[in-house]
Amino acid sequence: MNRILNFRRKLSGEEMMSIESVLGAVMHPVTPRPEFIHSLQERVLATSFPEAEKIEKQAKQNIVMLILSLMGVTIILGVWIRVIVSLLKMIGLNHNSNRRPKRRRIAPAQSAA
Amino acid sequence: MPETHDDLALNRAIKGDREAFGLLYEQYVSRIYNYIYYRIGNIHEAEDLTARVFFRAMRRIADYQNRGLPVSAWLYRIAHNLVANWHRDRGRRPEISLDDGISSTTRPEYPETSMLQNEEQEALLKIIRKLPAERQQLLILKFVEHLSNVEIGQIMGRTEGAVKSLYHRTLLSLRNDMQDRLVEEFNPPVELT
Repeated sequence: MNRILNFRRKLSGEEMMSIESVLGAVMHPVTPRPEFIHSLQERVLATSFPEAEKIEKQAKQNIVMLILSLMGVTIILGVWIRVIVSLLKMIGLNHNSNRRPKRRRIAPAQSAA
Repeated sequence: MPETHDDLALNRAIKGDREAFGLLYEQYVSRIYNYIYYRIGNIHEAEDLTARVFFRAMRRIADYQNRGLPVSAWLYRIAHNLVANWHRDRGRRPEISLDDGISSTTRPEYPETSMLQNEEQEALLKIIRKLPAERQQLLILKFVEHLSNVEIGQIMGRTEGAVKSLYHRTLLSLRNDMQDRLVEEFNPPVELT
């Protein structure tokens, strides 16, 4: 009921100050345990720094990319060489077939003799 | 905008300077601990989450993008996300115990009066922890960290006016919740037989 009655009632300056003083009394800084602070600092700073990890990770990625690129280039080159060789063979075969010697015809006079 | 000590330390830390990260740690560890402690109300969990905040910050600092916000805004954001995950994982809002918190820091002259005060403090903290996360954050930054509305706005990603408005609504909501509690105390529910 009280809530309903006060539902739309604005907060007066006096009430505001009163609540603020209560909050000020209840909420004040607490001090963490010094052992905790020191041990956490040691643990946090003992972990490997992300920048170094990042560089290392980047280097690994670069090596993998390099190997993959080399493999790709090798495969592409291989395919091209095979294609060129095949083309050359085909051209060679055609050339040979065009240059095949024609059958010599036997002259009729010779055959009669 | 001139570079602050924090910015310098941050830039060095981004480049892999361990000592600079140590400076940031020393500067903010207590503040982050306080924030988490008031959000969850348990010393051990607060220590655990504070540690996770700094490990996460350490892991992600190389990817940090400076958008002109203070370093604290970034750290509070990490803490805020971890606390949200913590609440989601547990699905509950734990209560602060009398032996486990603020009350233990003061040594009372009159134990009975102190016990009453502690109960009231505990009740108020319970009410505060039932508020939405952003309102809790605002109260912590204002009353524990004593930050200005501008600084709170930078951390919370709001304008100064929006912070003032949120603060007013938060106090209004707190007043109503406190009145509800008083009504419940003086008019306990009657059991129908």
